[in-house]
Amino acid sequence: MAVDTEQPNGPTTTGLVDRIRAWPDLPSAVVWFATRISVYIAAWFATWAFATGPDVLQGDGVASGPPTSFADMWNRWDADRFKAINEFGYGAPGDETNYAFFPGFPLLVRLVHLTGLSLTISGLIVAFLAGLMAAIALGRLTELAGGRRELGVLAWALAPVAVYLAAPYSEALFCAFAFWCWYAAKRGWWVFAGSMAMLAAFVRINGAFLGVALIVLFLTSKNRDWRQSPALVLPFVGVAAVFGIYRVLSGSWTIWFWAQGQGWSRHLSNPIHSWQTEWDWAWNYGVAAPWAVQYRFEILYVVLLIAFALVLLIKRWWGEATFVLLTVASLATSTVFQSVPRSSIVLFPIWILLGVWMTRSAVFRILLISVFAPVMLVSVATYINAYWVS
Amino acid sequence: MAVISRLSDRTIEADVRTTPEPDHGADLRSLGIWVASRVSVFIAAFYASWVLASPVGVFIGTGEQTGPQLSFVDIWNRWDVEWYQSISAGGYGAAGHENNFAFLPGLPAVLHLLGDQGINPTLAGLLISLVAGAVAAIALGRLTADVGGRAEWGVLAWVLAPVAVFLTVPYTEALFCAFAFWAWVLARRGQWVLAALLVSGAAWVRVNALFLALALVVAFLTSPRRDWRQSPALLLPWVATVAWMGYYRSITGSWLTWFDAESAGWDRHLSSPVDAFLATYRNGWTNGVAASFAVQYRIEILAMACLVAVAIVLLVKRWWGEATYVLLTCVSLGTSTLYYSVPRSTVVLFPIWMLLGLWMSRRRVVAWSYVAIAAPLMLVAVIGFVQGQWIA
Repeated sequence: MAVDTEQPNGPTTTGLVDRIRAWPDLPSAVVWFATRISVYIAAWFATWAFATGPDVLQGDGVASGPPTSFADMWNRWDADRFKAINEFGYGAPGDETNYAFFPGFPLLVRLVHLTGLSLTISGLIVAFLAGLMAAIALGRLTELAGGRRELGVLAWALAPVAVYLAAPYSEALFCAFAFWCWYAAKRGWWVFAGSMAMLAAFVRINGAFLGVALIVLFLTSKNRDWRQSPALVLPFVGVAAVFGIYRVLSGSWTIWFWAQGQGWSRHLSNPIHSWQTEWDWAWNYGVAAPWAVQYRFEILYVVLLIAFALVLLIKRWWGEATFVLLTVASLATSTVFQSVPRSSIVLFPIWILLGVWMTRSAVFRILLISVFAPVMLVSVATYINAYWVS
Repeated sequence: MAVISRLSDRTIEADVRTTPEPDHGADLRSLGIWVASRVSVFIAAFYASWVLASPVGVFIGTGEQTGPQLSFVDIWNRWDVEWYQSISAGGYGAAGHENNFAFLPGLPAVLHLLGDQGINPTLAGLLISLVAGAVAAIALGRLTADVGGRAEWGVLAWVLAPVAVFLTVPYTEALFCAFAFWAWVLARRGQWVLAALLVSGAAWVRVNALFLALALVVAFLTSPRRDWRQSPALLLPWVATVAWMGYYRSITGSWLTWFDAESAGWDRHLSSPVDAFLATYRNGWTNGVAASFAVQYRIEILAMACLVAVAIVLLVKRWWGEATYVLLTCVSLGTSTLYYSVPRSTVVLFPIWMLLGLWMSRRRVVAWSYVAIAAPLMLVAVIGFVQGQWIA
């Protein structure tokens, strides 16, 4: 927040502190760091505060800390699956469905792991650094759209499910590639953008949606440059490469689809049918409250995402609308809505838009912060206690 | 609306007038921070009550669609709340709550009034805190502005206090703050009679008002607005205290009922500061206390260290009245058997929040750091409280 405006012709700065202060991306970075502090503190305090039940005053005689270390408490749900990919490889016995997880994130974690750090810590470090890169790009994108850099980043870092930007999951890494891809595309650097989207496609299947959105952006952009257009194929090369690797490992081109269906019963489904199934899970099937509330969130998010897509269409942000619409369409035509909120974290158009709105209206800014922050921090506190957060 | 829309906009310039007329824009911003923080706290509590409603492993419940076991109001009915309700419903010395004399009659009296309207007692307590907190927020904003900070930063520091959950719950803190903060606003203006009257009101809510009463005397003696004609009013808080003690005596026959209840119910005795520290340290680190409680004892020690530090800063700044208030609180908490609810006591200590608000107004890095550290602690404490965990 210290500096808002770029001052390329400002007074010559020599000291390191001055240079940092003059760095136009500083506000974005500060928001990222500050929210990291909040998230880690919430996680740490929650493991202690909930380590034992309310009625247990005296423990086992030795002063005991929480049951899990600060690193291990992040090792929940998919984080465990990613870890297992590095430990036992793809298609390890009993874990055949781990083909559902693209290799980009586990590979990078393995690289950091070479330094001797544990896989979980390595995953946290990758998420931390990738998130920083993503924050900088998102800040710039927000500014291009007429908002203040740090507010777009703030909306994203406080997103209700932003716990997945901190956990050793692939979201932060995907964001780093996807957000830079878009920033580059906005500036007309199509080869760079295509390469970034290719890397994103190595991390999550959503890279394919990004690839399509990139083509739409290219076709509707004033910076269209046909000499660079072959680079737009790169994202699909990335997806093909992943499928090729899977083919080598498993002998099947379609193992990813099989894993999605087998592991998460994700099959193509009529969206109306998906909606009804989801509704039943949320309200009628007697699902326990912690899960039922998550299903209700899924439904809310599908509605919100469609609303956002409409706004983007009205604003004629064609490329951004494509990215959001494809994501919604893919999630809404699956057997049940699953991890819709989590998927929203990579949808930069939402955060750009919220950032712009937060810039324009202080009331909206305060309202958004006071609604997002508690949901996000409760999600952190419950995620590290192994509750499901969608 | 135009005023609200400028909320937190850093380009706002202070309304500079020659007369010390209250800045209503600042009041609105203070109120805005209070309301926004209420949104956050209630959302955190509500969402947490759903997510933590059943153990991790349970996916399908009883076959019927169930929400959390406790309603949104009942999740707040924890720890001391039943004590206040025992007084408002069954009176002092009610069966099963014989030690409820430890809780002063101010809050239970208001609860009783609202209870007569048929309002659920927990909800009544929440409403009292909601309204009283709003009143206190405006006063704190003015105090912060008075020492050169921006009103809303002082209020933000206070509502994000790591234990600010106690400003929400049906406890006495918010009500006490409403009296105490306004008393100080008036005292700084030289309106000693009104200030003393408000401290007297506070004296019926929490015993800490006695520290405030002494602080008021010190503030009077060191104030340029000292007005001896008003000075007899400074005795009012003591009269108010004797009044509730007399009321207790009319029930039990003893002037010392409050002290008896404190030691019988909470094992609070006078203790040397060294012993108090060591006893707390052992519970925090070496006595094998379960983690959830151990961490609270560690926080007690940290809070005490912070309080002492703040007191020193206040002395250096020559804020004599404010320093007196904080120091007396330190001494009383530090000479009890164990450190008990030191963090909770900080929410009524306005000098801390004025100071933090001032620093946050001056240095953006302080503002960011404080918000980033305090907000998660505060919200986790909210979740802990509504789940029945002990929060210091």
